[in-house]
Amino acid sequence: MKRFVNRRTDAVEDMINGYLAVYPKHFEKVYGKNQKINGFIRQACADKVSVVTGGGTGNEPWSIGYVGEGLADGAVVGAVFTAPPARSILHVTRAVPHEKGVLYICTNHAGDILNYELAGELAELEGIETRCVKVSDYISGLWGEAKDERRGQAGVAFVIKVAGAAAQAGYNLVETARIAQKANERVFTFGVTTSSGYMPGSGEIVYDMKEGEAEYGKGFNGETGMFVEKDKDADEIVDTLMRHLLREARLTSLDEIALMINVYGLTGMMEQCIIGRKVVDILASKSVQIHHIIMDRMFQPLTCGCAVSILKLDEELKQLYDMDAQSPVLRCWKNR
Amino acid sequence: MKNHITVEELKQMILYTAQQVIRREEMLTKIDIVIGDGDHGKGMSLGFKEVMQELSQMQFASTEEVFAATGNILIDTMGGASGVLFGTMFISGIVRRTANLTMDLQDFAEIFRCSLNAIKQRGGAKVGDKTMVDALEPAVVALENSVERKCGFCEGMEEAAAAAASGMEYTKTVKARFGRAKYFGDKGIGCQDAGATSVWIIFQSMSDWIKDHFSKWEKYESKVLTVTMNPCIDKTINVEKVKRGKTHRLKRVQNDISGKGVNVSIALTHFGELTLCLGFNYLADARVVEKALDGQGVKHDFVMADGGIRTNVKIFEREFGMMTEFNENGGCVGSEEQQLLIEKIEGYLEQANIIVLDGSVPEGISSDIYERIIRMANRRGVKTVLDATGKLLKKGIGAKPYLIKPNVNEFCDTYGIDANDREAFLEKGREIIQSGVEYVCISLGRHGAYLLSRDKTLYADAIPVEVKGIQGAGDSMVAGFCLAINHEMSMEEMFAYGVAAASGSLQYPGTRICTKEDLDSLLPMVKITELDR
Repeated sequence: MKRFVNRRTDAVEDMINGYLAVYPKHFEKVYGKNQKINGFIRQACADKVSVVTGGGTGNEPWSIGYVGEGLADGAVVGAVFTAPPARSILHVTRAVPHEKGVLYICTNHAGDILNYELAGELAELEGIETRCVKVSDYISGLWGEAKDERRGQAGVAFVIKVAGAAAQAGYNLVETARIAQKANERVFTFGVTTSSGYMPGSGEIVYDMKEGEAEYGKGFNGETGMFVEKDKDADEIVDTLMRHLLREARLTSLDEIALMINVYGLTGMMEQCIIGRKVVDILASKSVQIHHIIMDRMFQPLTCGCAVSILKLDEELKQLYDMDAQSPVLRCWKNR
Repeated sequence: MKNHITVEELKQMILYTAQQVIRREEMLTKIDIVIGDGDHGKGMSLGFKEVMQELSQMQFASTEEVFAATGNILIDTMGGASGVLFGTMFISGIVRRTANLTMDLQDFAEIFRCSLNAIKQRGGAKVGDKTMVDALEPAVVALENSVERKCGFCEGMEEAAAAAASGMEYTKTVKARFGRAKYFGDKGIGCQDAGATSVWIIFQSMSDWIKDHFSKWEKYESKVLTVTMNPCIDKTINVEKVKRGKTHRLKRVQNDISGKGVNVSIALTHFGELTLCLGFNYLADARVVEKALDGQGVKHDFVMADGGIRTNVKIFEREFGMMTEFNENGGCVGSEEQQLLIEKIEGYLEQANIIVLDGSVPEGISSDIYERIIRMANRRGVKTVLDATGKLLKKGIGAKPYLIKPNVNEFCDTYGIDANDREAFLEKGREIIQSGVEYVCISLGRHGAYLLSRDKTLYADAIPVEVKGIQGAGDSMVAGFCLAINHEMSMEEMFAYGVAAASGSLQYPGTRICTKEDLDSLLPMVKITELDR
């Protein structure tokens, strides 16, 4: 596989420089020691609670694409698949308006938690108030894993959407964190991986899979999933995927949801539409009310596969969800 | 037996450890890729490369600062869980400690116990969860047991490394409860944990460095340290008489490695004393100096500075028995090298009896350097001998050295006294004694020497020997003093040894130093008289 990379070690910086070169009006870089890019913030975010997110890179548009109006105010970038150092998080924390506090939204991985917790302590020493919500939406490999022990995946998009709206609407830090936490408790994602995985930036193989296999609940770093099926067609795979997702989400006909049909980096739109139709069919058969559907590329490990996310809305979340939001690459919440 | 490490040694130990971690990147990657995502080796290597680069350029005032800097660099550059956890391993142990200049095994046991507790609290892991704790906890327990049993530093660290190794092996037998590895469940049994492996690498490297360094140190165990800030090559030209504007055909040109402290060490080595040369050496000519010293069996441990060594041209005219000297200025030495030297001296002071501070200092070195070293030595009860002029002498006296030995011209120049006015310079010498210096020796070359103490003023005539070269005579005298001090002799004996050694050196052309035989044969010829005050 020939990858579009100049120097491997520069791939992450090159990505940020590229993103900001294409959309120069929107963002400002945040530098750490030795002029190393630690992340970036959006320009002219108003006097409000700031939302900072970010983690290991390699699953874009998460997290760089999530910085925008009504979304996150800053993103911290780590190396590929590696949580950013606490110091980088602190630098971005200082760069965003922080008078009213900073809400961290990270995915629930050991490295991210340790660094965000430490960054929060360092920020506190400087008099900056922070809260941290650890997104744990992914129904993963371990049967019966408690909700708050799960990893974070594509569902982080929904949490950032409502938290960003709450901050924009003038909620204080505690209230913004409460919204993010509530969204996290109500967001569920399940995914299936259908090819070997590659390391963005280097193209090295991260994990190997056999031809024709579909592994459910597999992590994007190759963490073992729940089970493997062989030689199934699209509808059968989506059927299995949705059965587990709906069981975990415990949806009833009274539930109103936001739905995300996300494909991974090596799966195209043709397949995405095939997946989408089956997902919609299944939900219709359960009489679930779909408030909004996103069929986009929201969280993309470099592999074949897809993930479906559900956010169970209530009146408060729905109101925040419906507020306008956009980044240069995410248009799904603009002018709905 | 050396049982502590200094600030500089700790820094060197960490640098060595960093090098070893970087060297093991591939091994760590291979271990991690089985059940992790294979980025542990890269992360550790990245962090420790930064440690190598930054630490080597930093100056530290305490051992605690070395640990803190290491941890901070790891936390700031690595990212991931490892960045925080390995950073914590170096930082959390020292946050509640006061600053120290040295650390011993007990300090290490206390520091890593605190770190272990912090890591367990942060990460939530305990022994058996297949994490770095599986190697760190046994290592800490081994340190604590070694302290309990009053083991040496070396032995204690060896046991900690061995315990970390068994802990690392143990991780193969358990299931992971944290990180990506937990998703492998029973499939992870048989696989080693990468974090525990890194802990082992760190403890093994620390232990290896300490063992190697301490054994070298034992070899260099020395009673008399000499410091040469400004070494040189003495080129001595011996002619009947200089004829201005004419060509001189030279029968012999003598090149000697010199430097006043070096000369003292050479003499002491001749006398059979344990001595070590410290000071600066210059990269461009490093081997010249080292070869000359090695050839004479003189031990040395110099701090390297940029540039080449200076050459001093000395023309001896036989007709007049007179020497004309052309002395180059030394190269410029940076503050970093100065600090390195201070730290090196600090490390060696522990087992020294005497430290000799002899001669000028190169450009870039502050004039209070001898003063600082004297204070350091006094704190440890090490006797100091100062032979210098001008500011170096004046400031040095302020720190109360044990003995000073300027020659009469240097002494009188420094204090603006007429060198012919015996009463004036003796009075100045007594004043210095009153200020807290134990002995003042003022040498007058062929007119003998004075040695003053609180109670006595002694005078010794020069021994009538055939003078072939006068360089090194003052340094030999210092060596004679050191020999006597080292063997706790009386003031009179000390003076006799000094005068005999100086005279021994005069019998040789160039910068040749007194031998043991010279000393023994000249000693009975020394005549000492006590002056009435």
